[in-house]
Amino acid sequence: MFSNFHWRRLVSKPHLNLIALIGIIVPTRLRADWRQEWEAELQHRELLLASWDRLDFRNKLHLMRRSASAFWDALWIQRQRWEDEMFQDLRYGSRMLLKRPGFTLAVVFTLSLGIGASTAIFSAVNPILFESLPYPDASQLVMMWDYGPDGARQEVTFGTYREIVQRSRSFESLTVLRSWQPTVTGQADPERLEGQAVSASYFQVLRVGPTLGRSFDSSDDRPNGSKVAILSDKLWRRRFGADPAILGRAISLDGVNYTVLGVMPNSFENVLAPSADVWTLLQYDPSLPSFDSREWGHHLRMIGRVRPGIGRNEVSREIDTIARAQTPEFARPTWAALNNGLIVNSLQQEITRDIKPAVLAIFSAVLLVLVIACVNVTNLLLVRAAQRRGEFAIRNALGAGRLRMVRQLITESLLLTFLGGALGMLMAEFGVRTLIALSPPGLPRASAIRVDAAAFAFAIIVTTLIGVVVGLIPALHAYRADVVVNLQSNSRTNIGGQQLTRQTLVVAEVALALVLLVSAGLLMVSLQRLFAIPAGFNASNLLTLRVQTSKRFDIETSQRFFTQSLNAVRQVPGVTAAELTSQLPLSGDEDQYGVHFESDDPKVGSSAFRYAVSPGYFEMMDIPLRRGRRLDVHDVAAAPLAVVISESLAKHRFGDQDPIGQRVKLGPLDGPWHTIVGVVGDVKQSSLAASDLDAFYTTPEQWRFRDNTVSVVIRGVGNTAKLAPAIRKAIWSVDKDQPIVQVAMMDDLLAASEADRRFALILFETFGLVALVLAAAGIYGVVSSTVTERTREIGVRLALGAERRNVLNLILRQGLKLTLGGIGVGLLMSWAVTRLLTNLLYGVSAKDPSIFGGVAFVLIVVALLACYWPARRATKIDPLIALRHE
Amino acid sequence: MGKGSLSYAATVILQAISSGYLYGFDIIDVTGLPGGTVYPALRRLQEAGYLSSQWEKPTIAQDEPRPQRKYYELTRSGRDVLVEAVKRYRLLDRTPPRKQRQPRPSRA
Repeated sequence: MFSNFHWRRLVSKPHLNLIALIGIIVPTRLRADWRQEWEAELQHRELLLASWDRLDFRNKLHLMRRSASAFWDALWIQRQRWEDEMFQDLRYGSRMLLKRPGFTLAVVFTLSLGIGASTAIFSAVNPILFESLPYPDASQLVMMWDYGPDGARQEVTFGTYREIVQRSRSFESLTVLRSWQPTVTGQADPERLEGQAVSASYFQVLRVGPTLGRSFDSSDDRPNGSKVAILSDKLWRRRFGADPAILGRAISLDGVNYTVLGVMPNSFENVLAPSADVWTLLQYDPSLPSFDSREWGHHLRMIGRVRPGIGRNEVSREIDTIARAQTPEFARPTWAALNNGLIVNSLQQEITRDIKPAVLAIFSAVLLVLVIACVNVTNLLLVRAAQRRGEFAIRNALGAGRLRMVRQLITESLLLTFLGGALGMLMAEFGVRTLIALSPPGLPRASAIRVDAAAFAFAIIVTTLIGVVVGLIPALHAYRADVVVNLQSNSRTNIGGQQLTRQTLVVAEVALALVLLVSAGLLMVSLQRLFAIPAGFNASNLLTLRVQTSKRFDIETSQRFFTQSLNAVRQVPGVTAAELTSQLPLSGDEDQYGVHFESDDPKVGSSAFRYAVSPGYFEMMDIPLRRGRRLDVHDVAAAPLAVVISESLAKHRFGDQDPIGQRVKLGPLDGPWHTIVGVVGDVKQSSLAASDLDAFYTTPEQWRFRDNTVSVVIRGVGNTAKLAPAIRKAIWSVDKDQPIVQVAMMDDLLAASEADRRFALILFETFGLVALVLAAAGIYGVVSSTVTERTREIGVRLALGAERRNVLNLILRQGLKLTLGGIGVGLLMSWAVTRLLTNLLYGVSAKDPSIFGGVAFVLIVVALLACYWPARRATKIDPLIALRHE
Repeated sequence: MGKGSLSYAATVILQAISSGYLYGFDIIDVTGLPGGTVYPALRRLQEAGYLSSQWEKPTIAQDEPRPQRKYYELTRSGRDVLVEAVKRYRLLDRTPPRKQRQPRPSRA
């Protein structure tokens, strides 16, 4: 188009030169057309004004300004250039990936493992650590604790709550609550419910309300106020058929009629007691009649909603001031004197406090897996880029800019990571389900764990970042690469820079894998040591049923029911022994009473686990007798009061002296004296790791309070789990209104008592294994590619008389060097980070040398195996072929 | 480009073309819009299917002699969208004047 002389002459003019210059940014395929159009416009302008040579300065400026406006036009077209070339890059990239399906699959799978695992864990971690609680303005919610005698957190008393409500100005509203497990009876089977007894302000503090009916009214929250209940949506649907007419109707809880006030929405998540299905009012006495009353017992949790604009510190200061300045109006007993003030902390932090160390450790672990996956992928891409040096050199020689090629590489890695991300999201979905199935029972906010928008965003961000970062390293290598050298590329070419990067990456990978494996090892040993601890009884093949009796039962009725039930259970075919206990070891029960020996100062005293057991309990549980006698059938209500104490309690209080015949008061000091008749072996009650082993045992008849929950423990022939239905029927044959609240095998209870640690261990083991495989793959990849690159050199060595053994050693040594480097770095890193696990460990130091050493050994073995195949390949090289190898 | 999103400038340009101002600098002159606005707008309108374009034969331009012209023409949907847009921009009724001399684009 520009061939004729008429137009060529004009190109010399500055405004047309400007157009030519701006034209550079216009895509090539559009450039000629674009330039012609603009030049025509300016030419026309110029002709109108006269010719360029005759123009005055002002008109020339005008023409220049006109030319400059072409820039906007060019910029607009520029957008199409990006789109065009991106599309081209994508098409080209997909073709390259399809050409090497093995490579593509390896990368996509590795990435999906990393992205999937981290997204799944993020889904679990997000509600626990980062998301605010599911209530309006949840950041205003705080929880308050009293200090126990040992400085630990202790639940508050109703008295303290009353005082804070009256004196504090920091809170919009305050509430106290405790757990409540009523038994619902009626047409359907009796059933024990999880619930909460709360002060009337509970839902107001959380700023949630029932969808149906109304919330609690403070006028009912007093002793002898009307009995009212609010139901969860779940219970309402399950037990009452979602009948809206339930409002105002009475339901029977513990044999008392409660009027249903309302039903909570389905979306209501009760973070303070996730399984609660029913709420009622505490109905404590706000006038705080006496220090002996329940109003002064430490058994309430206190939640407050802070006024907007008041900070946590201000609240703490005000509470401190109130605690220090006691007023006559608010008398306090010694055990709730608030001498140390109160602990004030955000509700979010309080709820996640116990699980936080484990969750953080798991999250860190999964991020390590992700990093290892990325390192591996980077290595694969580097090898791939090395194989493609020739291709890039040709493209470069043909005029492709380096930026263009960098973009090509990043596009390809983004393509790979997005494929990996998509597969990873599927894995995350699956992983989250597994996580929920595996999660320990106490995991807070478990119901909020799902792959949601936040998790999705997390995955997208992680994927994009990985794509760019992982793509950048090979791209930078490509950018630096020399065209001429690469065009001549062959096995002799020195690509030391790239090798160095790859080796560094493998060292990093081995180091990170070591950290994960050491952590997994520490957890595994902890769990082994824990389960190696004798529980103090024989837990195998032991069936347990927890039975609850109605609160209307008096002590005799209750005992008669349990004795009859026990007799009925013993008649069930297959049952060889059945006994009763008021609390089951390792089941979550923690029933403690004060013990005051005759020789003690009545003001001091300690507490011990209290068991009311039927006489045959010790034999059946294999709890050994150390001194004296066991409880027997003669220890009935009318007989002298007998007590058996644990070995540990005997040792604490009597040292080497014989405790038999000593007298002790159990529980309140107004009680009768019991005489110690025997000492039995220690039993782990709260957990296998626990060291609180002081305990005492009486027969149910000689215990002066009523136990409304009792466990029946059964041994039988064969698998006792199969006896459960028959046993349940036997108990209900005595009284069909008493619910069996839990049926469990003792082994399962034992395992569940360490569920937190087991959960962490399973995850760490999985991550450790993945890391090991990825590290091995990384070592294999690097060693294998060196063998390929050094084929010629090895050929020369063999031709010159090197023995195959030497070649094998040469290659193995290279792999070993990398592994040892990684292990060195990894040991230092593990040394620094394993203390994060301290809370999860038991009976093993976070720096246990045998575990560090063992893991290092495992890694070396795996690394040598990974090097062996490429090394063997090296020894098989035929010198003649290798010398011709290009 | 949806029908509702036709800008004032784009409407003026379509109006100019329908009035017989068929090539870039002619449109620029009659509308008074800068080239940096007119050319991108022409491209957008063409991509949206409201315009079609055609370079005139180089020989014609050489004979004149003047720069080669790229002639634009309204498509059917271009005419429809212009009618709609003119209703919205009432002031356009008065501009621009109908062009007297109407050089037809020569088919290349």
